Amino acid sequence: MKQPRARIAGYVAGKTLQKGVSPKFVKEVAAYLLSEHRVDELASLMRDVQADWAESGYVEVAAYSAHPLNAVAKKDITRQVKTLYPRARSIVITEKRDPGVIGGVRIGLPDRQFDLTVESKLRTFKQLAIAGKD
Amino acid sequence: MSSQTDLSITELSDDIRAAIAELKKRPEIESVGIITRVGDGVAWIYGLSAAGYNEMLEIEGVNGKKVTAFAFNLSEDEIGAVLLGEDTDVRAGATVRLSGAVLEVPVGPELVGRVVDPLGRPLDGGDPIKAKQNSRVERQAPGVLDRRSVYEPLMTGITAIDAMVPIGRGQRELIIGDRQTGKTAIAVDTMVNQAKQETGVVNVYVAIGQKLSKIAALQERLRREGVMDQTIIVATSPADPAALLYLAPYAGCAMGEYFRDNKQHSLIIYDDLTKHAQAYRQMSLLLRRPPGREAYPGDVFYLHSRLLERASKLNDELGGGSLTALPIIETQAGEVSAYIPTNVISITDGQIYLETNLFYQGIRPAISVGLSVSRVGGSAQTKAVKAAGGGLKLALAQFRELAAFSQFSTDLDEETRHTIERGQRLTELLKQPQYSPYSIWEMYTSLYAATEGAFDKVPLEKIKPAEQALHRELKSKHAKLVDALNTGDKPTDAQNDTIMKAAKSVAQTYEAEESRKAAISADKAEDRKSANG
Repeated sequence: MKQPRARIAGYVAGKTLQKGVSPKFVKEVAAYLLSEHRVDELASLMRDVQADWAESGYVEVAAYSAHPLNAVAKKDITRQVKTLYPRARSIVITEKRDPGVIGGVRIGLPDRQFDLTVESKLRTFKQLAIAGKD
Repeated sequence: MSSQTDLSITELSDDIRAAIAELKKRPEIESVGIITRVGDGVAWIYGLSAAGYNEMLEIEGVNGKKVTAFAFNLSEDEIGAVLLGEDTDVRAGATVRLSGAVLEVPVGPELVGRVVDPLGRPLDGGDPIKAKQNSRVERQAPGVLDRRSVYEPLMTGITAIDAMVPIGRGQRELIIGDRQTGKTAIAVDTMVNQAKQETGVVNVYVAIGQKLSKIAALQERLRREGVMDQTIIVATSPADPAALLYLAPYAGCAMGEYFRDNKQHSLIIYDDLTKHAQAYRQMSLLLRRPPGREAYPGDVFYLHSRLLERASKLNDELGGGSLTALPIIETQAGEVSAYIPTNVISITDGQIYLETNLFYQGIRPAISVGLSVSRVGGSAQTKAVKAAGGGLKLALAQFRELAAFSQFSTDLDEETRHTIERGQRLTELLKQPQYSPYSIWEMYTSLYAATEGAFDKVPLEKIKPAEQALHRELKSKHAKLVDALNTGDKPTDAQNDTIMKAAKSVAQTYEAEESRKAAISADKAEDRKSANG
């Protein structure tokens, strides 16, 4: 019987949180996906695992910015994530360079996104201005 | 081992991806399922959740026999598969493997002249078929842009059909009627005509649940008529599993499509779709699909619509090939409003309705003029036949109405009597023995002579001999006219005059003969009277 993806993700998240990622476990997951013809679901599965990790207190966020983040910015990100996940015990920020982000930072979470870029602020400002005009 | 703080989804994802790539190199990994129960031609399989609809499955049968099945029911916890072999060769616990392919059959010119089963295996005892190409049994019908409207005629050689319910290449024309009313005879005559007129149309005859003796007799007859050289017979008998009966029309269609897609013309006969629907109903009930009207499953309309939609006339860019379909439906006691007949009537581009009463009155083919119709064939009719048969349907309908009315009255006015007599002669003229299809010139000259009143004085029982005499006369003395008429172009006035002259001269012979006979019988009656006196 086909197992729901959420169930597989729950199992992977639980195991990795308890015992970390071992090569043997990685191989088991790979073999399972292969035998069930579900390799295509790997990206979605990883997103589910990340969400499960976050719910369990381990939040991994990807921060997209044009330049390296300074300590203040990282602290600000941690504070923002804390508001979303109050039970978060560990927040890991993985920095990713994106030249498209001219100013500010975009924070990627498993199933949502914080857009703290200048572009986003300008867009919001524009929308508010148009709404006020009308 | 990494600790919790080292966890990274990107790394985990990359690790798993690398492990998958590594494992894929190993050939021993394969997905297998297990048969949990089997019976009535259906097997239930645990596992193989990746199986696709209609995918072929290979079952390890008893004594190492490989039994083929196809996945038909993809439910959450198991697969319902329909066996193409004997279910006695399959046991619970047997291993099932995916083939990764949907059902295909061999197609191509190698099949022409052969009798095969729905999987393309020879049934005629001949050599194995070495087709160069295979085609999927279930294929999408050509789209709107791939088609062009029907415009070329597919002559059946049966005057009543070609004149009143003409069929065009790419059309779907249903042949419907009770048992023993000559449905198959019409289809077979159409195949025979393709050979006689050398049209080059390839025939595919799909026998669904027909007695093998009947198929053998048909094959022999077609061979004698010289039609087998351009015919493929896809045969299934009532003893075959329901799955084979279900597959037969789709397999035959795939074989016909090959010619359509290669700039040729083909004709496919489904004999008959009633049995096909019944086989599908059997499979569906065994697979526990919910029964609907008359216990048929809900998708029985789609069963036939997707099959008949594959009959088409392709546009010139795609080669201009065509696949014409003549599905056959058997009714019970003339009930055309039953479930399957109404479905197929609504799908097809017209129907030829055969009546038991007419058949037993000796009117053969027993075509009901009122109920038969061709929705698209008119534009495909040859000009000659169209010109002669234009008012035929109306004349016959008027005749039937008046004939029924006149039964209550002895005194008829001249016009009514004339309409009835003309109708009787036309009805007589449309009678045609089996395996003797007419050419265009034969149809035209008969219809023209009769509708212009050349045979009005010929006694009813002499109409057919008079028609044959006319054909003989024209063939022997007016060969050029015959050739010109056979092109299908609208005849000229001069040509019509020649036909009328010949027809009147032939008619006079029979009229004179009749008068002589009448005079002799009157003399005899006179003699008897005087002898008694």
